[in-house]
Amino acid sequence: MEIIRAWHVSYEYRSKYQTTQALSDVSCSFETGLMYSIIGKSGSGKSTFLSLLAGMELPASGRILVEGKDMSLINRDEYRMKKVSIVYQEFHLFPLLTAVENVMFPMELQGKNRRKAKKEAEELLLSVGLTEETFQKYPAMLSGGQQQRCAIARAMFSEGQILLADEPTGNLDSENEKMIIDLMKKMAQEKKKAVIIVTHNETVADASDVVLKMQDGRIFEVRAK
Amino acid sequence: MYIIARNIARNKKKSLITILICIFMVIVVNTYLGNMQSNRNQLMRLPEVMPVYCQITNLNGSKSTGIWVDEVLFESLITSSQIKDAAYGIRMMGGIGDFSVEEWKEKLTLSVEGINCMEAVPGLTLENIKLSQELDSFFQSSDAKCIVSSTLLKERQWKQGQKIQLNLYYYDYDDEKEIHCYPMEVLNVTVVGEMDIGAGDTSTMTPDILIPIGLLKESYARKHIPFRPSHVSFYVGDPLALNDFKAEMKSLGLMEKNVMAEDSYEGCALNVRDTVFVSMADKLQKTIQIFEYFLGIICLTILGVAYIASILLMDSRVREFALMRSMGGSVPRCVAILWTEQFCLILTGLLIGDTVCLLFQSLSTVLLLDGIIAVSYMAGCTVALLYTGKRSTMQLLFAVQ
Repeated sequence: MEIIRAWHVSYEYRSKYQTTQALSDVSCSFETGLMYSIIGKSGSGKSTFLSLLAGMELPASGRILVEGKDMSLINRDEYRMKKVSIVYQEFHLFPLLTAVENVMFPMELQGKNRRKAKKEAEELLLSVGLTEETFQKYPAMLSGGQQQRCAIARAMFSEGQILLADEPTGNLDSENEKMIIDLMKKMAQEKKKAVIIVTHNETVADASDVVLKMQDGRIFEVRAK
Repeated sequence: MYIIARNIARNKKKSLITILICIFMVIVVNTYLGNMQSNRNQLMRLPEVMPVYCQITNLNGSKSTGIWVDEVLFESLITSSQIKDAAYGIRMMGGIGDFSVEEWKEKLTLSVEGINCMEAVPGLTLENIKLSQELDSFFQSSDAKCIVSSTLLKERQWKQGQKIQLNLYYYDYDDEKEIHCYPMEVLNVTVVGEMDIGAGDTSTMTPDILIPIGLLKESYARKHIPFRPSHVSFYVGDPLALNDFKAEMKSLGLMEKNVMAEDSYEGCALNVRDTVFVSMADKLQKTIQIFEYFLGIICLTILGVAYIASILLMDSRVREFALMRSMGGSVPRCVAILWTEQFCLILTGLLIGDTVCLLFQSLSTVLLLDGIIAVSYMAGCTVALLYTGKRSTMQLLFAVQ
């Protein structure tokens, strides 16, 4: 089922001294139950495109439709809270919260009951392969792989059908990389999410159902398995 | 609130820095203002602690007793609002019994003084007077009563309650300013008290008999003689308005002492013992001015520190802010969480600082300063958060190049 569509999307970065065209006339769509990779060189506009899909900004021109609705007409805060979750290359865990508190945080932000949220968070951490020992540890005490799994567990909390990942294996070794890819696939296949991953990594691309290649702000190739 | 409390507890260093900055600011500002206020209070209390004494003298300042003070000048002075606690008297010669003018050399042997209060006679205190009634009411009255020195009482073998015939002669000056003594009136007075001033200061003559000033004033009026006190002293009503006081005294006709002037008996100059008072008041005034001058600078510095500290601390939380936004936290919600966190820390710092400041500063001043510090700190925090809210979450979180 198509969940999100980009329609002739363009975006530029404007500073005091120059304007940089990051995206030019990008059009594509994403369906639930599939894992997508967006690959390309640095500066090709991948992360910019992902952040537009996340509702962080609006395109300078064109539209992004979420479940048929124009993103510029919906409450983007609510969209990010309920429809989409994001995993980052740098993990972006709260450094002063424990693993379980990090996973709980979106639930706390939504005003959920703390006990229920904690229980749910622990289950999510277990589902991504983390043990009970790690629950009360701070991110600095976790390995890179553990941190990314914690971040994925946090992303899994959302019942939204879109999971965006910005270079999720960028800071991981090959063993952890495989673990993360497997988790992402599981979320696409079992949870029926549209998993959209921005990556340099051919391994990730090979594991994906659809690969979009970007260059100079445009999609020049779409390859489906 | 749980998120806020947890943030405060987990960000220990930043929380402590914020609290310490607040405590420091509160104590510095309150101490500064406390010192300033203390100097102001000292200045206000200075007249009470250091009253300014004035005496009417002759023009060259050589005499302060045995002079004559013009009746009109005297009446204007006594009713002036610029003076207080006036002590004055009129000195006369006296003898006992009704005798003729020709007998004055043998009979006029007593020094009689009419005074309005105990302070008009140097050395006269509560300890050396025995009187059956209130002293103040005695001297202010017109009762035909008198207080006699112990020596005279013994010599004449008078007793308390005894009536005596007091023949009074007053001093007057001719055109050449020579003093003469003239008969005034015979008064029948009752001895009601005894005084024993003792040796003490021999520079002023101790009277033998004291009578109430009211009694003498009535006698002078009956005889149509101008009432001219022979000594007048008082205190400045408000030493902090010394210039106004001196202007008024000048308008009444009192002049400044002139040591080059010829000797005379006319009481027309005013000796104001204000040197020490003026010196102290000047010092305090200068200190207060310095405090006031720097107050603005201190306040601006404090406010600047509060503002910048707030911005810097908020700036270090910008990634946290972006993360909350990426999870769907609205700008107002994220701002509210961080803003409330800062406010709680500031409040804690202010309250701790207040417990120290209330030891030396009034509650209203402490609360006012708390408000100013809190407003400036939160203003910095608000600006920082609003600026953070406008920053690109995308650029903060995504690997955007």
